[in-house]
Amino acid sequence: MDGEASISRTATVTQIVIVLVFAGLAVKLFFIQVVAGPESARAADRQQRMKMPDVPKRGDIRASDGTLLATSERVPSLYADPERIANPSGVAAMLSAAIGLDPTRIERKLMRRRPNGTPYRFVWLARFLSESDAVAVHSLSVPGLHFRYEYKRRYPQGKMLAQVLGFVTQDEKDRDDRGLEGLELAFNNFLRTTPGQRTSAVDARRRPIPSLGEEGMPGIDGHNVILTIDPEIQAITEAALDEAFVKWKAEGAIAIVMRPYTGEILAIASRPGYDPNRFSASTPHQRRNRAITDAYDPGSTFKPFTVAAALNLGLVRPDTMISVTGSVGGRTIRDHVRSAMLSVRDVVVKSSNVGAARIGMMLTHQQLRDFVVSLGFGRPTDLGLRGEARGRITPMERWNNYSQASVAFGQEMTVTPLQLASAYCSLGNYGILFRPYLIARIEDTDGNLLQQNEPQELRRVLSYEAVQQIRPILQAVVEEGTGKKAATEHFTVGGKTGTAQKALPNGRGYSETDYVGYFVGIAPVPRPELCVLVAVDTPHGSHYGGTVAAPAVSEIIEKSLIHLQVKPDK
Amino acid sequence: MMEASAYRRFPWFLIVLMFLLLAEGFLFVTSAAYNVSVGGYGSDPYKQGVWIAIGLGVFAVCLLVRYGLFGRWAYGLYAAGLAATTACYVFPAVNGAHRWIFFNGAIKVQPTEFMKLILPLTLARYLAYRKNVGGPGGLIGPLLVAGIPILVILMQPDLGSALVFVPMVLAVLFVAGARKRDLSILVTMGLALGVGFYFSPWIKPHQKARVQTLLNPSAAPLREGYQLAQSKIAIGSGGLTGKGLYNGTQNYLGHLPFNSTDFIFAVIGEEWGFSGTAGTLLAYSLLLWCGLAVAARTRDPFGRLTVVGLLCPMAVQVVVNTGMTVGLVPITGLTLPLISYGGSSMIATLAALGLVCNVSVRRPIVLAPETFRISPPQSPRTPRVS
Repeated sequence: MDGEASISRTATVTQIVIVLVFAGLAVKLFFIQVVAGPESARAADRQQRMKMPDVPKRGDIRASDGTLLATSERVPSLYADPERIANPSGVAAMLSAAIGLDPTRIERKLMRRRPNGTPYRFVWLARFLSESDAVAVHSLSVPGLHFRYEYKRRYPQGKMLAQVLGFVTQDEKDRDDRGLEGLELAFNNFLRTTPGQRTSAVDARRRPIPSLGEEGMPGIDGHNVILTIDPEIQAITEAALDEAFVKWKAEGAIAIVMRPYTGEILAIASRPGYDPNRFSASTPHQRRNRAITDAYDPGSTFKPFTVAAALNLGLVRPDTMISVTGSVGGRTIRDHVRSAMLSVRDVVVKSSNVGAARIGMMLTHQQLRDFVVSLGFGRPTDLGLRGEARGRITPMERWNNYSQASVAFGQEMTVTPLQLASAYCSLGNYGILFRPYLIARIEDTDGNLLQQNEPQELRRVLSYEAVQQIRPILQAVVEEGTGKKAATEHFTVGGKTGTAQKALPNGRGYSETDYVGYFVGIAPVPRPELCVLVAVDTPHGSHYGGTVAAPAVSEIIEKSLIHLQVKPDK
Repeated sequence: MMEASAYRRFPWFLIVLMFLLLAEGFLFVTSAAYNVSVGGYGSDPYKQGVWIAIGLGVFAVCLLVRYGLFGRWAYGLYAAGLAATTACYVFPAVNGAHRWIFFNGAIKVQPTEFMKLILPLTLARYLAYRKNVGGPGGLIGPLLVAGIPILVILMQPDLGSALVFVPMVLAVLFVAGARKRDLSILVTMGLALGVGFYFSPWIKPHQKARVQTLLNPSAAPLREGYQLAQSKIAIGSGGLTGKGLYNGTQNYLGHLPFNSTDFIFAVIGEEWGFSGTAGTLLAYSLLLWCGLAVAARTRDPFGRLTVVGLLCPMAVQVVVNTGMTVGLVPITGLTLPLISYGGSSMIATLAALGLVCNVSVRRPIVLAPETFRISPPQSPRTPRVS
């Protein structure tokens, strides 16, 4: 055999072998690319696009000056892509060391598999981390650990206005975006978000690349709810109420500050309180907004209305003398006033039960009951919050002389503190009753007005003249009567104390030991800017409204009027 | 210098294929360099252009200098190459391997790439007129010459590159006249050694994992298996015609590791589809075909051995690199010649092709076919009758 021929044969064989090897590779490529191509294309699409929720922001609740009362803050939450985590126990140990997560729980989460055995691509590891914890995790630079920003509900003012604001759920579903109580619940439909979804191209580390285009529905932020609350007055009110609540070791305490000529609620507080940032540590007792859920007998605080009704109908004048002895309507009424005759004025100033009952008896049953109804008693004020009590008024068909006398000095009916404060506003507003309101307006995130509440005049309940006659009487209560402790340094105050026995839980009669001490006042008397109610439920040590509640009213009026830059009239 | 008749013997087709592959490589290095987060291409395409330019200069030198001179310099080059390969240990390890020599931090050279050039020249020089490779004893010399640098490379450690030399040595020995029986025994011994090595404590866990990934890719979706899975998704999602140059999502979203070097073939598969991968393989096979034709036509034993020795690592690298992207071969750090990003590989490959062309141009003119044998004289035991 010729060597050269052998060489060229070997070369040819080698060339053919090479071509065959390459042809074999090409066959393999044909299978991967053409036969199995569509499957790979789907796999590529799966890993190159990620559906992400677009997390919008729940609306804020703000005070009238914009102070944030409830807001949602962007905070990082940690999730994992377990498919990219090679060493779950190591990662769990690192996270435990870095931010103190439970390593066994983390490892279990990372090890969970779909029913077909493949790892999940998204597992929450820790929701709502602090920035510093997020930085600590980020600096571990473990592939497969990622952050997603979410909104966490926060109440920057702490305990302030807690029962009014309420709080939101911590359930996995709708986390921090579903109200459970208070305004968060009542206005949830305005505050809540409409979550959206984005499909975005992501790189191999599952970071979105927005420049490659996104599709989907963006989420819609919730609306902001702006209250009538003046945060300064609210703070003053809460501080004064705290003092009374602690000093008298009371079971509860309530304060309301309203603007008589609009019905705006400037402050509203209830004790005991809680911190909505940690609502799970609170009790139902603390979460109750007593200003609207609890109805008590108004007691002596109702007497000015009885007198005003009689003045309004021209049945008496302030100096008309009334006998305050003997029985009224064939019934003996207990009274601490030891006089034979009192002027109408002094019936209020000295808070005579018999006198008030006797004046009440001058009205017809229908007249007195209609007046009580016209004050807004027996009906919720429609403030917008849930769980508002309506209060109880004896129906007309069962209304008798006994009712007439009892109602005249504030028994046989119950009213919520808000109803009572609202009724007093009419005395501060020349006889016109306004609907109390808490929500000033609702805006979208861009500040566009969606709803606005204007002061709403309900009705005239008293004539101008009747109010002009009753106001000096209220002022006299503070200056010489039972409410001296409500007096302030710079402003004239008119008001009425009340010491109501609490109705027994079984509805039969009154407790001999448990009282509610009230003071409701308006100031300054000539042109009232504020109507302030303070109620102390079951105080210990004293139960007279003039003792337990009036000092708080004095403090609230003095400081709030100075804050409002009202000219001192004293 | 070249005579006029040299133009006829110049392997024009080989050169056309070489430039086509260079152009394709430049396009895909650019595509792989695109950074979607930043929106730019970085400096890689520019650097690759510089490497190609330098490589073409070296190609010209290797073409124009009489190739016999390289044979004369072979031992000196061998000593220098061996020294450079060993010198890698002085420089810091990258990913646990001492494979590079660094110059002022910016430029790094991989001497192994140049050994792919030098070792064939050395072996060709050593074997060109040796008559005794027909016997087992005659193999000891060349095996020592080849074995020392291979061992040094193996210890760097760079198993992939070391294994590229093995078929080259066998091919050169075979062309030089070693007997198939002896070579078979050598291969068997090598395989036994390899299996023993696989179960020995010296093998690195990542190397073992690569072999295991090849045997069962779905067992390890992370790490080793991840690269292969992503490579197959990239190639597969390219379909018949591909997503278009610069449109490979697997590529620019960062799913392909080492997409400008080890896995650049997967980028080709994704962006040009089956037509691109098959076309590229066709170009390589034609290039090697032309190269082998040069070897077959050359009657100068040194020239022939050199061409075979230079082409063999190239062929092995193409097969191993493309094979690993589709899961036929374990994943190694071997680049795709003429296409992958990298200076050392580019310059060494172009130098090798320059030498192949050099041999083609300068082979003696055959007026009448003349019997030439580089195989040993016939053994008396096996008389041959022609």
